[in-house]
Amino acid sequence: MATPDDAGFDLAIVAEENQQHFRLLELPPDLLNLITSANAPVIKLKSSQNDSGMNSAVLCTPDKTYEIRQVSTSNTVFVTESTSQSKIPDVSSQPVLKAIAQPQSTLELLPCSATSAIPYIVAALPSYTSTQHQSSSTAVSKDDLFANIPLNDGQCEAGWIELACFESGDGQHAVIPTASVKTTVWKAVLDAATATGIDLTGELNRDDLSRLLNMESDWPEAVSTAVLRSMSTPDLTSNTTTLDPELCAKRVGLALLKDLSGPTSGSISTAPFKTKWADLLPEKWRTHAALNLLNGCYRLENGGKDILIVEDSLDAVAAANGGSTAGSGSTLGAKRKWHEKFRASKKAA
Amino acid sequence: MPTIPIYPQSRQGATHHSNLPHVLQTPSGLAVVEIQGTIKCSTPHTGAHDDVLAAVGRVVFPYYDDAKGAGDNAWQKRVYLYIGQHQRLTGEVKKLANPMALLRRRAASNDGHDELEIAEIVHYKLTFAHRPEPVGANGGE
Repeated sequence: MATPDDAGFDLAIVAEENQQHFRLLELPPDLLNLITSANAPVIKLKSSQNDSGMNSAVLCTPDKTYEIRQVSTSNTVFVTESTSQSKIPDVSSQPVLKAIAQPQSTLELLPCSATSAIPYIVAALPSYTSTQHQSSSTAVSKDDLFANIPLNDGQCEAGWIELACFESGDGQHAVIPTASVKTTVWKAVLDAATATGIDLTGELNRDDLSRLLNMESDWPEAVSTAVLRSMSTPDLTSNTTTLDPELCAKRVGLALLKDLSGPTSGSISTAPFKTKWADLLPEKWRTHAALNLLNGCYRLENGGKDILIVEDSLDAVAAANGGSTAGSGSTLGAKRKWHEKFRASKKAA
Repeated sequence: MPTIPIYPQSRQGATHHSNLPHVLQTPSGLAVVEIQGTIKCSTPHTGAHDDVLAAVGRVVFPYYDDAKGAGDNAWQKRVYLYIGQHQRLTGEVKKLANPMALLRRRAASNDGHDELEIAEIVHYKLTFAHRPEPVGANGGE
């Protein structure tokens, strides 16, 4: 029969004021693999700045986002450290399990569904117009911007590229070029390609790019680079850039539609729009100018004669807000389903 | 601060060696002990100023045999925690469905920003889920 005098460990608790602070974080298998891998990356706890809800904290790896749920326990949980010698007077010199911390809750991670960073970027960044270079908003650098978006870096970067964002001036002012700037820049690139005989539908090497981008122009080269990048498929291994026909047609079409609709977002005639759109594409890609590429960004009126842009930025922001309300709604639901929580802990016990 | 970095577990430093059963041993010597209930402790905290301890009891692995090695898991089903001389909690060594990272504030945070690090990843915990049983001073029943 075992007795208290058997070889074992003294359990001792460090006085509360000297306890350390630990957080327990449950690790899903993919996260465990990541952080135990040879070159484990730094992972990030993020929260959005304006959200005050509890649910706004997320944990981000370079390419995954997890929602964090804080689960309290009524049990006493100790983090212990084993030391080989007892420092307690009047107790045997047995090894000691020293309880150095008493975490009150565990952080559980739930994988998040893919969300676009675009609404966050649109809300945070000033737009770049050719006439007025800085809007009144305070300057935000790209790093600051990403730090404030509760999504992983991959998602942030994808949104950044899609919107053709760039850092202007001293590299501290991240901006989004307006549709009109994008269209103008693209047209200049297209003209330059015709003038220099560069085929935009083929592979573009560095030389080609510098010839296309170093044209006499009113805007910094960063704009043109960003616009071209928003149309190309990312290929980090090669030194060449290849424009993607679908992406190119889509970005050009959307920018043109926004530009033509003007600030009032009024409807414009469909047929001339489609012609202008096709004219703005390299000759070989004219056929790619099809309305289905812009699905979700427009509405046809007048039996298809007129096209009306659906203010995607506003909608997207609204959708993002709606998304977060839906999110908090679901937490409320989850809180009410306390018995389901209990069931899990019952099974575990 | 909207973004707090969590640094991966540092791989340097000597591996901590303790007499704990192997599955509970971790490089840093940290482990997790869970007790269903609260320990009310009247023992005065004693010890040096920076390391004040209250002895609450003893953890005993009655069936653990170091010689049997890693293949033997039967001992994990029973662990005793003696509280004082007259009470005993029965528990077990449990493998966690999801391993847990122990996060703590990083010591060398440079400019006052919050930085966390993964101090340890634990795969097992000691859990005591039963109500205490009375035992005699010598542990007999």
